[in-house]
Amino acid sequence: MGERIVYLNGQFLPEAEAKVSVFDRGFFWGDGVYDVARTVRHVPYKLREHVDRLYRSLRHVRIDPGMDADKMEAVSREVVERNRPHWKPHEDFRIVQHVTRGPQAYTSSGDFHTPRATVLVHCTEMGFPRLARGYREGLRLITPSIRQRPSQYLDPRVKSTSKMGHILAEMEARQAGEDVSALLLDLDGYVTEGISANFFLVERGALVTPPALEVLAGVTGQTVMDLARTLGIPAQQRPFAPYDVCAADEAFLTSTSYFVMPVSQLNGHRIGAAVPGPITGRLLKAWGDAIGLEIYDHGFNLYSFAGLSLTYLYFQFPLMVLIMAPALDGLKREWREASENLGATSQQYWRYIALPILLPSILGTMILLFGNAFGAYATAFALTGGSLNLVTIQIGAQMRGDVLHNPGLGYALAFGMVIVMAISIGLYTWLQRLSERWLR
Amino acid sequence: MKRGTFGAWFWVVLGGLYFLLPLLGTLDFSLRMRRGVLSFDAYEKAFADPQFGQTFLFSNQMALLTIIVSLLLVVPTAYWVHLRVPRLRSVVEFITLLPFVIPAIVLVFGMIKIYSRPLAFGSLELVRPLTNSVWGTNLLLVAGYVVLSLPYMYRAVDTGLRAIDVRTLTEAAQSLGAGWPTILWKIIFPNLRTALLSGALLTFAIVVGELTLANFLDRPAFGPYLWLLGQHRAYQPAALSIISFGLTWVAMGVIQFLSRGRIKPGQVAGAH
Repeated sequence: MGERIVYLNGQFLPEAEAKVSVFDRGFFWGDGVYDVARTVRHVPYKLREHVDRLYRSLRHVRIDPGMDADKMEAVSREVVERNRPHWKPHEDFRIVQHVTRGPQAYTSSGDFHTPRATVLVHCTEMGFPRLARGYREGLRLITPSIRQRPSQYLDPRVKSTSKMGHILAEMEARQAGEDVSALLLDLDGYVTEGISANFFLVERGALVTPPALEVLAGVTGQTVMDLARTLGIPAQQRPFAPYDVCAADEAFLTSTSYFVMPVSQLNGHRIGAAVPGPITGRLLKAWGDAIGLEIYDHGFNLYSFAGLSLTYLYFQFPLMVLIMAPALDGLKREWREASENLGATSQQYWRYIALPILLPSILGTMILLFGNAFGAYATAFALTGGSLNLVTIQIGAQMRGDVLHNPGLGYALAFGMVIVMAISIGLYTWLQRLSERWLR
Repeated sequence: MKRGTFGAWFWVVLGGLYFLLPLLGTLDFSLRMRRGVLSFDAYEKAFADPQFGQTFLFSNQMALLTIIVSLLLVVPTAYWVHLRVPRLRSVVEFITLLPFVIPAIVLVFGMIKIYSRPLAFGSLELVRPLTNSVWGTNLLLVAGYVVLSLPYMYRAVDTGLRAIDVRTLTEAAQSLGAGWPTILWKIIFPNLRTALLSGALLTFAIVVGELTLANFLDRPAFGPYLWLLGQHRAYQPAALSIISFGLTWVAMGVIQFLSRGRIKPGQVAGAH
């Protein structure tokens, strides 16, 4: 694995040789803008849209990068190509363009004349594994005390390198847990955006996202709007408050790195019943189809029905052994000898003697195991975080008062379980009596 | 015969892999907290958290109480059934199997619904709701654990009783003038030592990691702590899982060592 190559001020250099002046205004005052695109299966994705947005930011903050958008796009592609030898097959990359106002001999925030801008283009790994959990369980968000910067200060559509507000907001969110992220409100308390991500909610089958003036013009957010149109999902931009988010059917964030990420909680309120919700799932599927990627299908998935079954087997096996062992002990040696004397093969012995005798025990054990798996809660809850729709998970959700609190439903589900258990126990007793005819 | 042996080994190896691979995976993951090298960082971090000690201690206390209560309940019952009413044995055995099929979540749901009301006659409140006090909730927790551990405890005691000649021992004690409490305390308990120990250790293994009851009764036990940690951290939960697995295995080793062929404890874990 050699060293990554970056583009810096007209040269392609190994990472370690790329050096910027300590008097660079980007370093000193956060005086710069940036943009981030990504590759999909090693091919740059919507690169031009990102470069165009970078140039809109540049124009607004009056920085001249010394090259036009076509050249910037070409440079970005070349960086991607030059780093190709380092790529792992299943990893994709961020393509980042960074432009600051440049170095000064003696820097002061009020003196913004520089000989030239500093232009850096580099690409780094996306790191998918850290996203996996979000796709599976949904992100948890809180609204921190820090608010979105008002457009009167600096338009949120400018992707500025000074991110102090975002950083403090994210720090505040981390206090609530290592994987909790921030959802920023504006000064009036309306929802704006996540950290480098646009926010959407689903209300009565329609997408709602905050007005464009309040938030960064997300390239992925636009992709989602386009996809929604082709899928026939209505979408609108209007202001909404955290109240609406808690009452929504689904919510998700969009960003270049993860496209659409389901959101499962806001300030501790659970949003929707499943992760991902039906509309979120459709959008992810449609996007996956469009770019030839299946987010929820990277081979075997432990958090699916099959995965849960495999995990249940882990504790079902020993239980089966425990319950079946006495029955196997009850098989008399004489029966085998007698059948051998009469010329039966081993197969015939099992087929005509042992199996019929054991059958009631086997069926009885199966019923016990059914009951055991039917009533299992901890395993499913710990494994899937309550995202699979099991009876026990539903009872648990009702008890904790998640979703729509409805204790009557909890009673009904619990009673239903008791009935199913009573029937299985009845069957078990009957089979047990049958098996005792021979074994004992 | 040759083919049969090969087939048997094939299944044994397959089963062994099925049980061992997830453990090895967890162990491997727990050692990878520091990038690129194997280290015990995750274990150090896990031990450094004061909550680890607190919750582990709490779960151990609950386990101890559960063991005492369930011994006091199961041993006299099993003894009485063995000696006096052997025809009830299948009934009792059946009852002790019930916790395998009665979901823990339904159990705790019912408990909360019933014991969050006071015991009252009209307006006269005799007992305050158990869930209103810490000791009351702990009481519920222990009661629930006694139910969950019933199958394991009963089976262990039952196997132990079968291995000794209960009738002769009882008659000998009675002829020497011993009353029932003396017989149970001085004859039966000591003779069942290994069986009781194996039942106790199985109970311990179940209670220490239990999640459902402790979570819904909101007690600061080890199971919910482990789960919570799993929500927020990557490596420490793996380390703690390995530690608790280790403890369980030590417990099993102790059973095997003490029994040494006299009784066969089933190493089992039901879904809770």
